[in-house]
Amino acid sequence: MWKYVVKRILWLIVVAVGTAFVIFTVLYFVPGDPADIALPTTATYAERQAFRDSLGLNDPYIVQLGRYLYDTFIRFDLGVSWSYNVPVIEELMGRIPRTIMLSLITIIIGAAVGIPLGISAALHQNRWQDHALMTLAMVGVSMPEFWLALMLILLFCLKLNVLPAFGIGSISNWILPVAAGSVAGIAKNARQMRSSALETIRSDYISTARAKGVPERSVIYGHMLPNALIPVINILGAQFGKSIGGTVVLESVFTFPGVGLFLLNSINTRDYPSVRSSVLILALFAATVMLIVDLVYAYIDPRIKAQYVVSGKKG
Amino acid sequence: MTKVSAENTKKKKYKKQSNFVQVFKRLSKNPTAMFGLILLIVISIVAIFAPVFAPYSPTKMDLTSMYATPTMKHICGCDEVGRDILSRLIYGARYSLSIGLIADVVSQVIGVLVGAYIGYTGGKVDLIGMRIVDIWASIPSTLLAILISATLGAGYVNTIIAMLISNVPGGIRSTRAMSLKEREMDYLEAARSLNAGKFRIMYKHMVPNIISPTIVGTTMGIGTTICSVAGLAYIGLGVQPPTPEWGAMLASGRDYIMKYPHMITFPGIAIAMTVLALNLFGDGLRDALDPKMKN
Repeated sequence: MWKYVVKRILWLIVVAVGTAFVIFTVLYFVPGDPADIALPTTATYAERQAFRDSLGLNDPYIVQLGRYLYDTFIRFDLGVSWSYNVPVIEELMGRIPRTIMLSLITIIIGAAVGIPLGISAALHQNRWQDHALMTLAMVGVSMPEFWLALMLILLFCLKLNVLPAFGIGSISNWILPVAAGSVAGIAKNARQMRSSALETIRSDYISTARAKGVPERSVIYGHMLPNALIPVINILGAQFGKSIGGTVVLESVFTFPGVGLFLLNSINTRDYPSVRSSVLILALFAATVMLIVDLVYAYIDPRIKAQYVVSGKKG
Repeated sequence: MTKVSAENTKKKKYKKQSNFVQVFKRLSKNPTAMFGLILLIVISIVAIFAPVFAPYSPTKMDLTSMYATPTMKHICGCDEVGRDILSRLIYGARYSLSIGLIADVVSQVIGVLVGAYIGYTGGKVDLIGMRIVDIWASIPSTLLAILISATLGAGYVNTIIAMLISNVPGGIRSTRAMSLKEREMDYLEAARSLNAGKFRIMYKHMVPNIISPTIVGTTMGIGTTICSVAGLAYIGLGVQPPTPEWGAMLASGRDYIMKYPHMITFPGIAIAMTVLALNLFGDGLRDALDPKMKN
């Protein structure tokens, strides 16, 4: 098991460098001259060239890439923001915890509410509870997150006037972003949990347990649930990656000052060191969460564990 | 003689019922899936024949009905320059549906071709291929789409490219995982022992047997893509206003959310309805393609 953990963590480092490489390469092809953005329009040609030289923008691609990777991963220097003229890390420091909090709360609520709903739908299969829950879940997965956010703003901020629509500071600022972000997760988890539970309930070991007279309660909570949860936990990680992208749009709807909003503002001002760093931070955060989910998954599922022990010997 | 011919016709009759017909028969017994399918067909027809169905031109500005709230004359109201929102939604369906369809189908086709190749070949090809895909997919897909849109600039074609690039790794992954299991099957061994070519085995024998989850995934994926595209347009990186794409309409309507909420309500309903139809149909398709799973 430890060998697997170490292997996965080493792989995370490779992924981090790979991610930085992809981000740098994509942004390298952005048309336009950074000097136009950072310098006033009155700047002379010589001034522009001096600016480009100072940033090393006249160097070949491979040199720039090497320098970027060296700065990011060896010196932990994310560069200087072109539009604010301060180190990017200073801008990001205050925002990172907010975005991480928002996504973590969202995913926890998604699991904590969605999984019980899915179980209860499966236990009431084909009765009204099941139909009602699954209809709601279907609507929940079909709505775009940011539109739901707009509708919530419309209802709670403009019509009822009970919650603030933007800003940060008090708990009430968090209610709507969290609500808008968790609906899709709740719906997805409920659907996944229901189908996984129904699939498990048909397995032979459940029939065996019932046949030997285990009480129904214990069949469900002792035999069925632990097995039915495994695929749900597995998709939680992938879902999280998707929700990070959604968070960016949500932050824009609520003017929530997190990494996502900073990313969008930086894209608008063509402040590429900031764009690079925000995407890198968000991607690394998603990768870390996925790693944790994978480790939990391997830990709780003996089949997966066995598989890795075998493949570990091979490798 | 007559007996033989009777048997022959019987056999023919059985053969005639192709997989497609069987799946469709199972599908037609599922009312919610049929509802989804019919809704989809209606939306597609309305989108294709937009000039027939739209009551007004989507670009005609009528300054006397600026911000008009929904009435019988304008069922969904009018926007900030007096364009009929219903007509814009109808024309907008063309953009949203076509982006979703093209980006998703093309990325799934690439995913199946590459994924089957990697998974079937195995060994070093699989190892290297999957490492590349892992790194490619390490940036969450929406984030990658945002990054690519920011680089390429906004617009219809660029949105498709951005969605395509960010969707491909998922397709490769799932097909590869299925091919990995499938290549050990006896019928492929049989094909190999008959000395069938590698590509013939992969794409003629193996792929048809592992394509069902991909078909379901594509159906649902179109809905996800439509949502993501709307999100991109909303943050100003997708299709730009005044193009009547649904996300772009939401983007231009958000400034008026306070006074004229109908400008953002209806485009959202249009998106949600389309995605709902795709999801209902996809759910039914999954059950129909995999009869074991039916409860």
